Amino acid sequence: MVGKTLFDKIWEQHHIKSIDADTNLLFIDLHLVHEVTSPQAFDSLRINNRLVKYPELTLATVDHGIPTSNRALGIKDPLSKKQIEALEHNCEEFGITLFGVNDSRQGIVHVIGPEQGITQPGMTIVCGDSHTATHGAFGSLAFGIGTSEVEHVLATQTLAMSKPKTMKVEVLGELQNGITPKDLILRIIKKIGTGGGAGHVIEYSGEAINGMSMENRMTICNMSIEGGARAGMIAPDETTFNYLKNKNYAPKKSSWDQAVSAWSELYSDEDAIFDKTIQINAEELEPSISWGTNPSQIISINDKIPDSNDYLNEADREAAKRALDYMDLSPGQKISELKLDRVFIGSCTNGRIEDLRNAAAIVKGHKVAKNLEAMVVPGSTLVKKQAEEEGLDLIFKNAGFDWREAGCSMCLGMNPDILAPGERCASTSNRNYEGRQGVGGRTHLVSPEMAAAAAIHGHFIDIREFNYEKA
Amino acid sequence: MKKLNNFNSTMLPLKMSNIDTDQIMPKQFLKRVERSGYGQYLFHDWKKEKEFPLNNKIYSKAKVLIAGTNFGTGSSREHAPWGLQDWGFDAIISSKFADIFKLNSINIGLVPIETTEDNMNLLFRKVTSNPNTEIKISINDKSVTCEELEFDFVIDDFSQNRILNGIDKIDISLEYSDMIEDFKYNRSSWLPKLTD
Repeated sequence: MVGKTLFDKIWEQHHIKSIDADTNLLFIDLHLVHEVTSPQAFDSLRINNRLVKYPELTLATVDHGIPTSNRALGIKDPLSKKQIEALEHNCEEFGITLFGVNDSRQGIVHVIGPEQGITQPGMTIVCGDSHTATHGAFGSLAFGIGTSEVEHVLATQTLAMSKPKTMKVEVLGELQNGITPKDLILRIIKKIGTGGGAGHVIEYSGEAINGMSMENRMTICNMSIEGGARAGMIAPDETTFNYLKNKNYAPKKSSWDQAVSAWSELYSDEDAIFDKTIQINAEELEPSISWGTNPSQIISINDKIPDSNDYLNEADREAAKRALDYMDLSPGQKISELKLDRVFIGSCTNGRIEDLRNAAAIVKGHKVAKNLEAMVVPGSTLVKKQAEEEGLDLIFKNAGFDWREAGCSMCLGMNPDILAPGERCASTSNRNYEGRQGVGGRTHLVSPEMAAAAAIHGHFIDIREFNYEKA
Repeated sequence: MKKLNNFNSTMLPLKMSNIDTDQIMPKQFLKRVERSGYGQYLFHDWKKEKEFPLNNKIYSKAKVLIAGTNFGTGSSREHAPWGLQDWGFDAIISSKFADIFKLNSINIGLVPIETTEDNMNLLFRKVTSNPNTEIKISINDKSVTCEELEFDFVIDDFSQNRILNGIDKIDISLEYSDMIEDFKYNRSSWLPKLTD
C-alpha cells in the first residue's frame, strides 16, 4: 500500500461522504468568523430560515475594520461601525462566541486561534480570509473561503469540495544568521510564482522548518496563499505539543495524552507521493524584499531592480512594467537607495510576540529616522499585553514608534491606518498589491528585523551588517 | 445563484497577469454589509485611467471577460466576483484562476473558464483586431466557440449542474444532515468547543 501524506490523513479523517466523483462532503472542526466577510452570509441564513448548525464550533472576532488608536473614542467610520455592530448582533442572535472590541482576547483571527490553543493538529479549519493557511503550522488543514462558503459552513458545518493536489516544499539546510522565516517564504513565492501552488496544498518540511518555533512556522504557512496554495501545513512535533500544552482550549489531563498520541500519527509517510515537489536551499538565502506589486516580485537586499524585459511572457512583462511605474522605480536601481516614508510592523504574518521581540532587539537604543513615521500594531490584545510586560512598548515608543491596539491595520488599510498616495512603506505584512495599504501607496514586504532596521536608517539596509543583540 | 446555459457575447480584454482581488474590488467597498450593488465599484482605482477597457463603450455589452493568467489572485473576498457579475459578466476566460476566486465565482454562477495560453493569445488577438468579435459559451456542452476557434473546458458535473439549474449548494449538503450529526458525535472528545 502506498503511503499517505499528512494532508491525505486529515482529509480522510474528515471525509463524510462522496457526493459524486469530484465532490466530497468534508467536516469542518472550526469556523473562524470576522466582521468583513460574514454579514451577507448571516443575512442569507435569515432569508432562508436556516440556523447555525454548531455554534460551539464557531468563533468570531473583530480585526479587519477596527481602529488601532484610542478605542475609548469608539469607531468613527460609520460603515466599519455598522459592520462591527452587525457582527455583534449576528453572534448574539445565532449563539456564537465573540471576542469583541473590548474583550481581552480580541485580535487578528489567525493570531488568536493559536494563542488560545483552539487551533490544534489534525483539525479542519476555515475562515472567510485567505490567510487562514496560518493555522496549518500546527498540522491542521486550514484554508480561506468566500462568503457563500461561510454561509455553507455556518448552516452545515461542512464544505462540499473537490480534493486538492499536494505539493511538497522541502527546505534544505538551516537559516543563516540574520535570515528569517519571512525571507524564506518570500523566496519560495518568488520561486513558484503567485499561481504556482494553485490547486495544491503545500506541506513544508526539512531541517530549517524542523528548527523553527511555532510562530516562525505560522509566518511560513500564512503566506502559502501568496504562492497560490489555499493551504500550507507542517507536521506537528514536540515543538507543536510544547506550544499547545496548558493553552486555554488545549486538551487537559488524560485527554492531553490521548491527543498527543493521535497527533503523533500526523506526518507524511516516507513513501507518500506528492503531486509536485520543490526544493529550496536555506543556506543560500539573503534578506528578501518585494520590489513590485505582487508578492513574487522579490529581490535580495543587494540586488538591483529588474527590467521588465527580463520577463519572457508578455502578460508578465506588462505586469512588471506597470509595477515599475506604480512603484516609481527604474531598472538597475539599488533598493537600498530608496527613501522610505513609513514602516509598519504587524499583521497575521508578523504580528506575534516573537516578531515584536525581534524588531525591538534592533530598535533598542536607536531613534526612528527623521521624516519617517513608524508604527507597531500587535497581532492581538494579549500579544500587546505580553509585549508591555516585557517592556517592548517602551523600546518602540522611546525610539519614536507609534504603539497601537491590536488589529489588521495597515496590512490592508480597511481602518484609518493607510498610506498617503506616493508614500513608500517597509511592511511586515503579506501583500504589496497596488493600493493595498492605501490608494497610491507603495509597499515593500520585509521581515520584522529588516523593517525595524529600515525605520532607524530611513532606507533598507542589510540586517546582517547591523550590530545588535538578538532577542 | 445565477442560472446559465448557452450564451453569445462580445469580450472585454484585460491582458495582464496576476490581477488581484484588491484591484477587482478595493477594500473600502468591503465595509458594506449588503450583498448587491458592487458593479459600480468594480476596478474602482484602475477605472480612473481613461484608457482602461472598462471605460471603453465598445466593450460595454461584453458578458465575457478575457484576462491574463492567474486571475483573481490574493484575498478571498467574494465581493470581487459579486462586482464582476453585477457589472454584467457571466464568464471569465483565463489560462489560470486563483483557487478561492474560482470557487467563489462558481458559487454565484459566474463561470471561470480555463484554457491554454495559445487559445488565450488567439482570443486577445481576435478582440484587438475586432472588438465586436462574438464568442459562444455553452455550459451544457462545456464548450467555447469563437469564429474558427473551438475548445472544451473543464467544470465538474456537480458545479455544472448547479449552474445549469441555479441550485444552492447548501440545500444539497443539508440532505446529509444525519450523516453530519453522526460524524460530529463520533469526533475525538478533546476537540475545542467554544460554548458548552
